[in-house]
Amino acid sequence: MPRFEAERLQDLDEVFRWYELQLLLLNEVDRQLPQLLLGDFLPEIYRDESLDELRKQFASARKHLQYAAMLHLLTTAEALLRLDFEHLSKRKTKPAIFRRFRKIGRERGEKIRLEEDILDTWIEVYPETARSIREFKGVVPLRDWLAHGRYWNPKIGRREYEVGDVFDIASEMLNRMQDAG
Amino acid sequence: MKSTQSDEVKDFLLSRQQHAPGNENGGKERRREWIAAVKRLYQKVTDELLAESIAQGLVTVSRVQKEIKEEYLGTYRVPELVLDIGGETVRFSPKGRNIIGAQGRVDLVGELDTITLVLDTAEDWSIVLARVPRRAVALNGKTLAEALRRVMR
Repeated sequence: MPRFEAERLQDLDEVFRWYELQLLLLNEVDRQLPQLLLGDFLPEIYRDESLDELRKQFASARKHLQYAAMLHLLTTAEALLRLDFEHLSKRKTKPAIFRRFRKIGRERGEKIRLEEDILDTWIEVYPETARSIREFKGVVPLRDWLAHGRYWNPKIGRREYEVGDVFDIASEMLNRMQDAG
Repeated sequence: MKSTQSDEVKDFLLSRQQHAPGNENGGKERRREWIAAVKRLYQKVTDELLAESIAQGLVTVSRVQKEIKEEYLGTYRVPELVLDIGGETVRFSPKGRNIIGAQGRVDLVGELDTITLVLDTAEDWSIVLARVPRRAVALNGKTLAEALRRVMR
């Protein structure tokens, strides 16, 4: 049984590699479906299904994998931002933002808001990060939509996002933040 | 009358004006260049990289219009290039001009996966074969074949 403990080391690259591996495996089996069906190599529960039915299930699996990967990337990015907030409000690694974060931390305690307290403060203190943070803020509603069941139309920055987009946007923002100051 | 307005304020307002959605001149020009670059990409694919296969009837080509809305560029229509390869459809679908680290992006969308193509200069397109670690290679017959294998059944 997995142990549920605080993970202090988060890694967007690792999440994206996980997604790529899952997609690769899924697609490899999808490509082999006709042979697997002919050769009776499929697990028992799939043996009565037609090729079309199986392909629909694989397409659905890809869609859910994409949702899961986007949520995983977005929550990992949020964890990185919050861990960074914690670090920067205690140490003068980036003096310009240290005082602001320390003040916010004292005022809000454990109720630090991702957008208002963290992202907007980054934009105010380091305007060079603004573009990449705005892109990320455009994708944040997707996190809520994915985490809470997708039953409404989210107001997101772009008409559509792929998993790669979410990864690119989050990575770019974190890189810009690291370079800032 | 002598102006009392500071140069800093003037510069700031000028930069805002240049980026305002209403200022169509810069946006129109960038949009025109971007759409031209997309069309040149399609020409390279159909007239060079897949020319023989198209002539042999292995690949059928069509185009459909797509609408894109982008900051500073406004809303515009750009073609998607649709390839029918043995009954399976693959689309070159433009994503936009405002891309970090590139001058534009078109996705190659298949039934199993999507691969990103980025415009490096006005003429040069690269295929992003991996994001971690990032591996982008120049678009040519070999790399297009690799990309098609990835996105198709």
